[in-house]
Amino acid sequence: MQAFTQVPSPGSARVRGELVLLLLTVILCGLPFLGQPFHMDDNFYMDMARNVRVSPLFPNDRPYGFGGEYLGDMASHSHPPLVTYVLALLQAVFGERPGGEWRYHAVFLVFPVLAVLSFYFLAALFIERPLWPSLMLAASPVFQVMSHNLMTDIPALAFVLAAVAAFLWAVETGRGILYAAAAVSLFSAMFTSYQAALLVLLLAFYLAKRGGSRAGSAALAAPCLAMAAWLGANYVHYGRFILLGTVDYVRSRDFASLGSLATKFVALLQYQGWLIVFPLFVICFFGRSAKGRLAALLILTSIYGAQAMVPVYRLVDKAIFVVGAAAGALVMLRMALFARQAFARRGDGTGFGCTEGRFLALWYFGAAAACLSLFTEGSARYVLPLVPPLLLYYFRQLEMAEVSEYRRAGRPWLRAAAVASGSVVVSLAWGLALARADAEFARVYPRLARAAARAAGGLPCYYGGEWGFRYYLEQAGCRQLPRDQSRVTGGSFIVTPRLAVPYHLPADLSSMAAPVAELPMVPDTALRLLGGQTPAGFYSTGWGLLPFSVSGGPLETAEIRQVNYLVERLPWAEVEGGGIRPWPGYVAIGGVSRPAVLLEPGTRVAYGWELEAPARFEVWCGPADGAQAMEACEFEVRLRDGAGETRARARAVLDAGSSGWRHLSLALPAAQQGAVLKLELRYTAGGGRRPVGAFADAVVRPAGP
Amino acid sequence: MSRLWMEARVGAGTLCLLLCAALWPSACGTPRPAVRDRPPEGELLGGLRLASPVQAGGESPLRPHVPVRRAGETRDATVLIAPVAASVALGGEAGRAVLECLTAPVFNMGDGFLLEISLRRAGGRETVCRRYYDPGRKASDRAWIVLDVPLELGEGGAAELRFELSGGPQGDLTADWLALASVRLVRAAAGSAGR
Repeated sequence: MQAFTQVPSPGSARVRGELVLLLLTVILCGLPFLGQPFHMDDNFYMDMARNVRVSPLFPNDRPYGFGGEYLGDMASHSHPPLVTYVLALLQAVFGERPGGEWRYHAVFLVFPVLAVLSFYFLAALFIERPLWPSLMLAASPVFQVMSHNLMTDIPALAFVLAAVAAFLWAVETGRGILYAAAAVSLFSAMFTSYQAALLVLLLAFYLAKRGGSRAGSAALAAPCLAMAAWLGANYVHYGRFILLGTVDYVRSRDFASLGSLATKFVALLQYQGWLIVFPLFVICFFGRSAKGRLAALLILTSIYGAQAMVPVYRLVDKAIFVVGAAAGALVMLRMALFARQAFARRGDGTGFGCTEGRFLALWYFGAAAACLSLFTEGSARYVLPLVPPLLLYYFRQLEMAEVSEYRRAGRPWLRAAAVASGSVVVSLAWGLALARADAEFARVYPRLARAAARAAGGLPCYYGGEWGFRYYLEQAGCRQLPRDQSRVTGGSFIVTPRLAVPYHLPADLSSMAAPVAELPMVPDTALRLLGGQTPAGFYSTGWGLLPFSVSGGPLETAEIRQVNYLVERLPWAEVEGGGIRPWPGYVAIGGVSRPAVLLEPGTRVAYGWELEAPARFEVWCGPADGAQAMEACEFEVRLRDGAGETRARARAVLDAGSSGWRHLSLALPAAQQGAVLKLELRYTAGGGRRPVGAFADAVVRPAGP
Repeated sequence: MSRLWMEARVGAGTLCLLLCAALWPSACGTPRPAVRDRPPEGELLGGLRLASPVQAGGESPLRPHVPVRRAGETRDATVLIAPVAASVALGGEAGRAVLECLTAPVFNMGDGFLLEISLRRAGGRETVCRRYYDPGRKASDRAWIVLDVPLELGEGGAAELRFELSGGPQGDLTADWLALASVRLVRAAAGSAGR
């Protein structure tokens, strides 16, 4: 079957008008988000792109720390490097100055444009009005949200749609240039995302059903050979088959257990229910069967499912779950019925030709199977490949319903035409709302990085997190927490997020660090796509089963800790007097355990002062057990220069019988190269009891203005 | 009829291929062998697993399979929490052997702790190693430390190694955790006295 009456040539006024409308839709939807900060895994591709200058053939060949794990190279990353090369080109042209994100996003609009225009030509093979599914693709929330970042999902979808459209039209028309275009697009798709290789099987099926051709076989074989050659070159370079590392990673994440599969399946329903066509229209149109009883039954089942699977969710989250599950189940059920019809003896009744129907059914269920079995968890972006066949089926059904409604005496309250236009308009509005929520999510991290950099004020600062958090903290001058944690010295700040894949601090480092500040970040929208005290899991089911949620609380909170200078530097300190060498321990101040250096009376400890920025040193002093000082005791902190002159001093005297902690604070200059500065602690106590003294919760803060 | 049947087979075959390709990772690959840090200097008699002491309530003072990172090296370790005594049977080995293991204090706090390893046989008890760890005050203790303990196992027979961890001189048990990794028994090479 060829739905379009003729090949949709861009020379035709109708086609040209529709293409312009699609182009404008994508660009206008993208314009408000051009300035969106780099987000999620954008940072990873930017990091690898920088390495193209060092290792142009193998850009992933560099040691890399991710999520607190440190690897020798990233060759076994889940995606080949086409997007990395594009970004390397953009880095060479635009540089990486702050505020320059819009240039990258403007160039990356080429991918959603390619996806939508390719889908238009593809849809022209299947339905009479290809404009509608193409508009719907541009309007669908998952497509809109993913169009505003630098990750591989939209580029891969664009190349997949270009490959399918070119290949199917090549088979229909026999034009060699289309076969060549299909081969190039297919290779680009595979070089963007490995799973696009599954497309070869799908296209081979179509080719076989259409009688096969040598040019078609060559167009499918050439990209496979090119990928094989690239993998072979990697084997020679790295000395291993890089995909085995990818497979090992997936296997290590318990991806095929029953619980994991169930989570991914429920998420698949949720993403399809909320993020492709607005669920109201899915339920109204697909739920018409059996006079609406099917929809009612699925909603009821979803209510029970919510109570069984997510009993701890808030009521609003349960409502989101129920609507998403019911709409998603309706979609999958209708697609299953469609597949059954398509593979029935004659394959008719689907609204498509026999081959086209089977092709779409295989595409949809192949992509769904990949979502369940290839990935370690559920993610909205993984459902992008099944959106095109679903939209083609949805709009074909609407076309057929529109015709049949005219013949019926009683028309439904929501007619097919209203469903079609309503689907596009409401989904567009919904998609823009979610895209804005995602942009607000992205904007949290530059703000957070500025606040963290202010708090560190030039003192050494490390971060332990990913996504935009990593990119913007790096831009603010912080360094990644090193693999060898012993390089993180006393006085260093460590910033970790709650949401953005916080690194697990090694126990030794953690034992010496104490929190000094918390930075809660509240975005300018109540919609949440990920976490933030909600079960929203748009990017990963690791945070929850819902594609979105609502909350007025902080989306992200960063914790700033400081490695205690006195504790970490103690092995290198000079000690005089006292019986036992001072040791690090914990004391309770205000009911909270704080790291401290514990000294016997008559002890002097001298630390080398090495921080290269002016700072304020603050410390709490008192008897280590927090009890009353039976005898008078004195705590002193002093900074001496190389000549022994005192540069700063603070002391506290506890009279006999007094209790509590005394706070000492003194301004310290930056350590100059070659100059010797010593920070001295002294503790003296009279009488016979001689309690152990503590210099606790020492904090080095950047000097104020 | 035959054409329809063929089409159905092609369709089903393609779907199967798609599913197989999707499920491929779960059906291939072999687990990687554990990597030893260094080859034994003599015949490897086997890895040793400490028996958890019976604990009446509370958390066990012996925790197996804890990933511990020290100076950038992460190892799967058994963590002993002072005060604790744990033992391991030697399985009737005879002659001279070396107990090899990597040890690391888990934290950098506290007044240190003492590890004492003793060999218990029918004939009595012999302390074969005493080591004081003080990561709070000694920088060289903030790393993985190789511990090679020469053992004279005599004629063989029932014997066990006992690992005892106790607090430091100030009696402070804060953060007195010791990680043990790659614990193994190696037949001593001729002329080797361990390190």
